[in-house]
Amino acid sequence: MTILFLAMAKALAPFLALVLSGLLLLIVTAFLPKEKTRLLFYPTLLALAGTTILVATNWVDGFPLEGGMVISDRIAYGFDLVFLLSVFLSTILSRETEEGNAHGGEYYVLTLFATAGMVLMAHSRDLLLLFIALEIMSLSAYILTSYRQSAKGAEAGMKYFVMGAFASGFLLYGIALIYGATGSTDFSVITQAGAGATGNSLWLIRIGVALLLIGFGFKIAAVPFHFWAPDVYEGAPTPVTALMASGVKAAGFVALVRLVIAFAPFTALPWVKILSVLAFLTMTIGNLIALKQTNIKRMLAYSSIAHAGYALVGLAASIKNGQIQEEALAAVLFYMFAYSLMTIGAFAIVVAMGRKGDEVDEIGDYAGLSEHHPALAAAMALFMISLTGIPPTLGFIGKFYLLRAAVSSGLIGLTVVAVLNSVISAFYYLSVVMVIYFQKEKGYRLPQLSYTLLFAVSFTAMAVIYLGLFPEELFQVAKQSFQAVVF
Amino acid sequence: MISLVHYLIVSILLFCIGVAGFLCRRNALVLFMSVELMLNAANLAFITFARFQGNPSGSVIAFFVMVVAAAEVAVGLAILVLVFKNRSSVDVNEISLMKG
Amino acid sequence: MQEYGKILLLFTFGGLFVASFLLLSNFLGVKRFTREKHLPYECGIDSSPNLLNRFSVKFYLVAILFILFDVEVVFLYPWAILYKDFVLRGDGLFMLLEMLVFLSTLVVGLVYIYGKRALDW
Repeated sequence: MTILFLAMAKALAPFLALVLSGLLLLIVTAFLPKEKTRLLFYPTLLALAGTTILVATNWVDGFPLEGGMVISDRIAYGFDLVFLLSVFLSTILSRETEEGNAHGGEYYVLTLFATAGMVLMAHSRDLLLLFIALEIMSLSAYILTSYRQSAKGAEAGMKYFVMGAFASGFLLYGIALIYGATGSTDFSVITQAGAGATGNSLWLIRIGVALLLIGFGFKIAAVPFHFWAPDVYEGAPTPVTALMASGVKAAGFVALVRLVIAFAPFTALPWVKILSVLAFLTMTIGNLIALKQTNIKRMLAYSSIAHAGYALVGLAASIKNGQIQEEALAAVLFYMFAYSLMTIGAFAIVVAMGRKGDEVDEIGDYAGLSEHHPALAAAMALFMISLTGIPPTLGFIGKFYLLRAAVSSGLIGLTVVAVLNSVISAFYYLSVVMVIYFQKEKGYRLPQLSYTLLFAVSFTAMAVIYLGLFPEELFQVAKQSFQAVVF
Repeated sequence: MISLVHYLIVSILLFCIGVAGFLCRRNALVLFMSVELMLNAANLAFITFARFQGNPSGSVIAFFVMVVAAAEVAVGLAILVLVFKNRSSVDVNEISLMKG
Repeated sequence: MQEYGKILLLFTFGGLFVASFLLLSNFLGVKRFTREKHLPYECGIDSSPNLLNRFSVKFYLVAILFILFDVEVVFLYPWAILYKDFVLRGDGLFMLLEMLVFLSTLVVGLVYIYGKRALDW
């Protein structure tokens, strides 16, 4: 009893640390004078860093805990690292934009709760727990979106909330149907009961899985469930947008990975076809609409849709003849990590360009940045090159692993489409670089950069280059996360 | 005799009414109501399965869903109040600062 | 049979009469479509009410807070019903602690509300 309890406590320590520090900060916020709430920035970063250490040690120890609603395998801890990295960096960005806000304390509390939701999503062994974890994350994200209380923020928050709630309706109904067919919401019971299911109950499971796919499709903004994303990304405060593009999206993908592992072997649905079509539409439409954007946040929103499409290629490649391909799933995890780094780097520069609420969002405003601030211009060019997928950057390596997995699963057509899409995306990413380097300045003066922001930009830039040159160890980590996946 | 299928048909109808309402109506409050209808349709399905399979976990799930729905409404209404303060309307067709 | 035939005749002619007039008005009538006419019909609360009857946003806040705490109580019922079984099985203390963890989380929320003066009038 006590040994099991201690093992549980160790396995759940990251989640508990996040929740407890969130609750503690909540009480502190309530009694702190308003002008002092920005001090909560430091304990928040401390809590996130401490949780990262807990996650890393648990990953190294790597023991899958049996029983209960929670699963503690390396898949979960691997994704936890992506969440914590993106939350950590986006919190650093928030210091620039939300400093004067009267509700600074709540911002950090909600960030911690959203992270706790993401972590719990990765650790769910039960569909009900997955749903509740998703709601914890989403509700925090809705409030963070409209947290600045501006007209745009409120509108973005409402769109996000309405679409998110609609999606969770689908999700819940899917869970209900699967529960009806198998008598449980536990993944391992479902896979056992599902393996023997025939006739009506198999069809119930299939329809349930389809509804789940629609629900998570909304969450990762896959086409045709993407239409809310550009408005929400544009209206939200930039650090929150960065968080949505990285952490929240990765959380959607961990749920999809679990679904594939649990349901692909026995449902006999045309998984590869469904995921391939989703990936094809998401990449192509995301990239094509991104071409004509003039607002940088909208452009990055469509780019985020397109990148979800690339990651879906990896998910489609993870099923070959009804067998799970671990290497393809490892490529998805690696890609979420890589994409989070690149996109947060790009958003960090958006934050640097327009601080303290007055955002500078038009791509034209970046003209002449190279004369004014060469280092920042170089960093932006680096992130754009990495997002396009040109070597020797992390973006190229991520795509390389994904497409290698796709080729080895025989998805040649989809691979060609992905490469063509990268070529299309070069037009809009590199046009930003052109504006920065070859257009005359309009007289916009950049304010002095703070150390925290400089840290965020230089950290992401160095990681993008370093991991682009030496990715092998990180990919090994991703690969070992997916050793012998079962429920 | 009312069987499992009858309950399920009612639940599916409720779900479809929720989806249709969500897609057709313009008042944000009615959109919230439609979403609630979808969640409650799922609840009805959970409780039906729990009752007919003699498996009480479905009823407990319904409790959890009710709590999640209440939390959702609290957040949603707060955001709606914010939108209303900024624009004096909750008509979703009129809420369009951002386009493209 | 004869009488019923007359009724049938009546129904047929009545139906034809109504149908023909509906169709005629559809073909001959003048149609002017405006934006309002194309919108789906909505009843219920007007989505843009007049702003004259204001009431304090405090009412809304207190109502929402009440609902949140009220709904959480739902978890206490199954726990309270099953608690005796747990005591008999020897898990009583553990279950009591579990419920205390849950309730103390709620208390944190209450403390926050109190600290933010959301309950002051």
